[in-house]
Amino acid sequence: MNNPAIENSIADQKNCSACNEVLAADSRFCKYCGADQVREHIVLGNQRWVAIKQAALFYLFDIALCCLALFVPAFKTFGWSVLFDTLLAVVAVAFFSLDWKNNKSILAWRNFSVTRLLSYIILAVAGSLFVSYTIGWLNQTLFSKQLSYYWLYSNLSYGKVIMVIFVAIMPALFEELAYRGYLLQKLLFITENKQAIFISAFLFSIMHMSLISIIWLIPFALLLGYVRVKENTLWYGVVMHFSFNLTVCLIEFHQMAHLA
Amino acid sequence: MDASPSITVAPNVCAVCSKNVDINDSFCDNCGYPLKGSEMDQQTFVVTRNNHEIDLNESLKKVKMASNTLYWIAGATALFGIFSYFITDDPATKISLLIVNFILAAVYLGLGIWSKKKPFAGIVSGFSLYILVIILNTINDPATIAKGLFIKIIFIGYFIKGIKSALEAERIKKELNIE
Ligand SMILES: [Zn+2]
Repeated sequence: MNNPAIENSIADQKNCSACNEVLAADSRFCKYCGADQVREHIVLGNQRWVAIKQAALFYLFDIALCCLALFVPAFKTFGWSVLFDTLLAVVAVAFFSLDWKNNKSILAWRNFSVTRLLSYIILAVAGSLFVSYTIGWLNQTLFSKQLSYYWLYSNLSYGKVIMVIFVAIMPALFEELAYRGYLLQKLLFITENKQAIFISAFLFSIMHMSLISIIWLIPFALLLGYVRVKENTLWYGVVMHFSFNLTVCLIEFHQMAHLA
Repeated sequence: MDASPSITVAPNVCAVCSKNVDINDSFCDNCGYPLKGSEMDQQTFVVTRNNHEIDLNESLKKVKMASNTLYWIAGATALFGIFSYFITDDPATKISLLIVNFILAAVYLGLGIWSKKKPFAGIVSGFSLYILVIILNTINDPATIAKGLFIKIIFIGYFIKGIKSALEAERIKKELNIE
């Protein structure tokens, strides 16, 4: 620690994977025996194709469930929506735990920082307020559609509590587990960080099947993916997603109170 | 550094990748060229490397086909939007059909352009959107899946080949150490 010169010289070197001679850290080939020093990363070609197929299978499961829940009129009741939310959660947990060895590390929350957590929460709440007031207006003017979740829960006792559970808590946990957890982790294995974050954000956004919502879903999902990769944990994203959706709920409660 | 690449290169520059090497090295530590190997070793190395370059060009061609597929779909979606606008009677529906198809076309176009720079992300995203749109159209009207089925299968084939080739191209580029 107290001799930076030695620290540096060690960081600038590595040993050949075949003959163990000392090489410069950026050597791609051993200058003594010719052994390829990067090949180990490259031979993963076939494993990457398998990973793509697994990710595609996961995504098809999610799309099938969302399509059934959204487009079969008989399923548009509270009971069915609970069932589909549960099935989505089961798919997320199942895929995540089938790949437990590669995924477990992101469930840890090392370097926890209250300041960063609060900053992320503020960012999410501000984003949610902005989206609720601008996109809500856009949706109404373009498609004369009112974005509202509360109608599904309004005639239940404890409607507000149930809505917070199904709109804020469940998606925050299981969408994060599915998209920033399982899917992003797979994509990071397949390709470089930027492309992986973009693909996971894009797939997450179009899965919601609302053309107008894509305008804010993509930036939001990019932010969640970026935070997940930067902080190496799922939990900041879970808290942000929860704050974002909870703000949506609170705005709706507020509007309901005004209408009543 | 200014030495022009020719058969006779200075002994401290690799004959294949022109990177500086130490006169005592047996292999180039950048590309693996056997500096002290027999003529046979050196020729084998060059042939293998050229083959990799040919593979790379093959992969890049397939990637380009998938990128172009995105452009075709963008164009077709925009045309379909205009077509729907003129055959729909209800004024509110025809406007939203036009907007929806134009936004979709713009997304395909954007992904197509972006796939020139980041092939894997562009093609995977475009392909996923394409599949999702087919599924949604089929739910809306099951008869639509049969429309242009042949073209759809060809497009899907191009996409899958493009995704595989984008990965392959990334791999060969790493192996040849080119960006
Ligand atoms: Zn070389």
